[in-house]
Amino acid sequence: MPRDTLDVLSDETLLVLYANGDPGAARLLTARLAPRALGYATRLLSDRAEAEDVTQEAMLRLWKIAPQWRNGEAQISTWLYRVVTNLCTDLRRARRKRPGVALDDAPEVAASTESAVSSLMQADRMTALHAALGQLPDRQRQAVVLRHIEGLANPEIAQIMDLGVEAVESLTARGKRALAAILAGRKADLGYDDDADESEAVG
Amino acid sequence: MNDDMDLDNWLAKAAATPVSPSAALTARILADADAAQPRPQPQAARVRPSRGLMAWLSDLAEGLGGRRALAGLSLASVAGLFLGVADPSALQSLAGLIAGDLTAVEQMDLLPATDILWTEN
Repeated sequence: MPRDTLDVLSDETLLVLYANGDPGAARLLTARLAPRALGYATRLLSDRAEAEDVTQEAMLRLWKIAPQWRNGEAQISTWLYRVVTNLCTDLRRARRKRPGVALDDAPEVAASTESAVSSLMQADRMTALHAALGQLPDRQRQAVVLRHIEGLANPEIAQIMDLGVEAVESLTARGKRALAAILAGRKADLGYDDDADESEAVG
Repeated sequence: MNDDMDLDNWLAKAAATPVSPSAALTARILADADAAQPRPQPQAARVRPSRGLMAWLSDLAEGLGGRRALAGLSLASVAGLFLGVADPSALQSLAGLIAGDLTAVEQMDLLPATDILWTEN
């Protein structure tokens, strides 16, 4: 099927075409879904290589489930976010079990995070945000990333996390408060004092 | 500086910063897709089951043009047999008629020797 024709089709339709042997459907689905899966996994894991492995595995599961996919049960993107969430959770649990591997709440990670944030004198605030996200409990981090970075609505997040909408709202609110507290102590490291000075000078 | 506003700004910037898959990752994903994609199964070679005499006759009838053609062929065979058994003199008279010997018409008996078929001995 021509690429222009495929472009306007839904993810679900593309998956059916893939299952029927269409050669272009997988390429388009990858272009649409892989960046989202990779971005989400990267923000959950703070490790690009691991996030790539998770993305590849999640997409592989999508290819394998394609012949059995039933339209109308769930959006493919919701299903994919859920798979990525579970894979990342498993990976982080495995990290915790590995001796000598950095844990979110372990002193060496705290030191590592601290040094990462300290090195942000050049205003690398995104790195600081990711480091701060890494300090949140898993569920809070997932909720905050899905809501405020991936831009999903609470009902969809509830589906992904297998929670009620109220629980999602609670997790998101607590996560944001914790993030603000972590980052508040590092404003000077991140150049916010300089910004404030400049604003005052301009004003 | 308002902490909530700062955090919202940071999150908005993160949301606006896409994480793009590398060419290598895309290639890995597409290779998986190609390997996992269902393929149409080639049709298995048709195996003829062992067949009986009736099936063989049925095939023969089909080969000759079907049941109607077979009935016509049978009728023609019977007619040929009849003409072989009967006296061909009538055919000679008929041939003479066609050739122009009109005198033969007066004497022509189309089935001169059919008596042998129903004459009791």
